Amino acid sequence: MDRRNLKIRPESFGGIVSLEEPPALVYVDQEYMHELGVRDSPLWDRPANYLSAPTEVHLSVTNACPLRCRHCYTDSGGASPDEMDGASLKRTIDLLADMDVFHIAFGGGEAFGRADFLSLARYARQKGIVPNVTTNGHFMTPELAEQCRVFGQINVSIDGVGSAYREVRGVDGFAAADRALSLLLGAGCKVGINCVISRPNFDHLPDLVRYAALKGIGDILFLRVKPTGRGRDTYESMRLTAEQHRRLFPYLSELTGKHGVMLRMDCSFVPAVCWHGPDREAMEFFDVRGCVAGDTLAGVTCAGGLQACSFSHDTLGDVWQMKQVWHESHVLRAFRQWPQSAPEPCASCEYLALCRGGCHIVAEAVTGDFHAPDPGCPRVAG
Amino acid sequence: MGKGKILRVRVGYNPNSSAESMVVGFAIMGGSVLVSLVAGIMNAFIIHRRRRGQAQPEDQT
Repeated sequence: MDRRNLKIRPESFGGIVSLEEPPALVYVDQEYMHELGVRDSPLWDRPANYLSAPTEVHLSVTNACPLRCRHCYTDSGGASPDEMDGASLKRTIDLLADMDVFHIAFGGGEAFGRADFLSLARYARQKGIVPNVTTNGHFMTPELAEQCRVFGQINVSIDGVGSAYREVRGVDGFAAADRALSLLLGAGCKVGINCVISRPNFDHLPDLVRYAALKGIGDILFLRVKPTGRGRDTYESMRLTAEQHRRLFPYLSELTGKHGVMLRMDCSFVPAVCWHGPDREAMEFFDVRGCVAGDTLAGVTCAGGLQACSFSHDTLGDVWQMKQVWHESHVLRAFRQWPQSAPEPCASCEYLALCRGGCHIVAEAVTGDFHAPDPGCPRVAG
Repeated sequence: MGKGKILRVRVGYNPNSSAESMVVGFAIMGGSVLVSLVAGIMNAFIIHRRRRGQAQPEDQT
């Protein structure tokens, strides 16, 4: 695999260029596309307010997971009876390659629990798509880690160091996760940590960032607890308080800056970032935005159901209809057009175009209204 | 280089199969080094293609 290559996809505004070293998606205008040697695209004659296809698809390969964490957003545990077999998953990857999707984030359940998982990742590579994955580390072995260089990046889920892991997840998986990190780092993989931030671990995050830095991990992705799957039952006790939402961004910025770790946050935390008045031009240029469901993102369940994002309970059809659904689904249209009919206080917020109202899945689960503002936004919470 | 513009840059991969991840700290603190790196790679690619005299869309990847 030659990771120096660029992959280019025309869009109505010009196009998107995918780089691997450094990993980046670069949005360029039509003139730049010409300079890259790309001829005029038919898309340039048809102004559109959304992309021709997602840039990234979240593909669940199984619902089976040995951990059964109490806040799991997919209610993972046992395998679903209707999970796609290897041939169907490869057909799915064929379809995504045909749509010029750049990245697949494989997930589950625990993706490495599938015997054929690595072959699926290799297949994505063959098709020109960068495979990425998050794992709990349970199945990692030295031999497996050596083969994981096929991934653009692997993140290991760790919500706390030592006993703090169990306090959050209700199951003790820290030793396995720690070992997996060591094996993957030793094998030369690009590795990061996923951490779901919740009330039980909010004050323990310095321990995690320090642990990551000592381990040589330069990248932590902080995720928000979602009220889906088993998370529906634990959301109220685990979600951050309004005060924690207000403190979140400076708290994480200081911690990661102190230890030289890259700060990543999931799209649903963007309202908590905007509340601190960051530079809007910088946010726009670096593509820091709220809900991107139906915009750059789509999800596919392990049974082949198509979703706007993997938290959404609405299945938009089966994956084989993806090309049609992407352009015609009223659900995707509702996600894309949410800012146009945003209620207050979003409507008068100077960050609306970037924040896009935060997470609509959280809003719907908490308030019963998809069109409600994200209740976690400090501006909304008051 | 030419008149073409880089409109925006999404940095890094998102290994997470639930939400989309954003490199927030980097964006807010400023990322001029990375922007220079990305622009440099893109420019090198443009120069390379011009030298090869290739401009076939089918050969984009």
